[in-house]
Amino acid sequence: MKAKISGSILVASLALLAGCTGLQIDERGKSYKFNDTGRKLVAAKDALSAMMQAESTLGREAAANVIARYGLSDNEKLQKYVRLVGATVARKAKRKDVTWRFAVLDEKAPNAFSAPGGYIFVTEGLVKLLNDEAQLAGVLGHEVGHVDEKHAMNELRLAGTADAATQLLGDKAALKGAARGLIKLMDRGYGRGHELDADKFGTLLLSRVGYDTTGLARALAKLAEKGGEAAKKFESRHPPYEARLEALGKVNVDEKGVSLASRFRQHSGS
Amino acid sequence: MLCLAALASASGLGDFVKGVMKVTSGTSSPKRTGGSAAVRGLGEEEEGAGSASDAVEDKREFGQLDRLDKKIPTTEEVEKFAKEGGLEG
Repeated sequence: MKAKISGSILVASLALLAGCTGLQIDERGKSYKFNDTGRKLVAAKDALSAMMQAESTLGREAAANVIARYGLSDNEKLQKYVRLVGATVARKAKRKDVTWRFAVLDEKAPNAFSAPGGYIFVTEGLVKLLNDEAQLAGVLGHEVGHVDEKHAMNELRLAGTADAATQLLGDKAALKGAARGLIKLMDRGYGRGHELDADKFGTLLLSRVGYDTTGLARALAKLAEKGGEAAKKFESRHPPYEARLEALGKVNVDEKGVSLASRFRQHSGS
Repeated sequence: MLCLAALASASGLGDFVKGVMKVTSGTSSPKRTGGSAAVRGLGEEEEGAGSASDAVEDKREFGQLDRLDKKIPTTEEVEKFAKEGGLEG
């Protein structure tokens, strides 16, 4: 009796497993082929792979454009420092399928960019404007938020659309067109809603890592106060600083954390 | 289907499941830079062929980008850096 029940459970389990894994196994268990579920899973895996590849390829095109336009800072000490601050923050991001790369651009105007696939850039001018590591981490966290939430891919209507991703990968002209679109998008910002979301995301990352959670708000205030013409131009493409600071004031985070001003000064030369 | 949904959710395929529910419109005729409306994005809404903006947007520097790939900090380096700052690595 016990053996019969065990056998039934085994058969039922195998059937369930076969259904779930998408495999159709023959009666003797010696061969198998994909059933409908299996074929759907394979298609889903291929689609996911195409979307990730499209994001990575497009992001790389845009990142190569950013470097060509601005050039990388030759301050290797600062580059290494920004890479480490960025990596520390990005480890608390939601997505684990992204390879994060952080770099400083040889540009006096304060600005920061992100491209799909995990490319984050901050200008020397923006670093010079800041006073501590929590501010820098807040700026980098904001940019990480854009990638983590796929803001660019959503704006380009590429997030979650496997057909478009597959087409992009197979058509050089389409890739070029989409890259141009992305570059313009990066220059003008991802839209009011996405920018406010990224502010919130950046501040939550500060909290998760243990930085002073006012870091991003203080960086934005500094940008508004000392950023000059570049900051005004920046604001014309983003929500007003007042609105961003007001929204950040409502983010519910633990206020304890470190700002690491001396480490920042030591590495940034500010 | 339940299995698919559960596996999709567990393995991060949720976007795909949403994606297939709202598949983009088909391809349109190629424009100056080619491609469909779905993937063309914002890339060619204003300028004519050969504009100064095109020249800027067509610049690429892949060599330095490749060098960036080789400088990604290791997990150990990031943990050490975080620990030195009293942060969660």
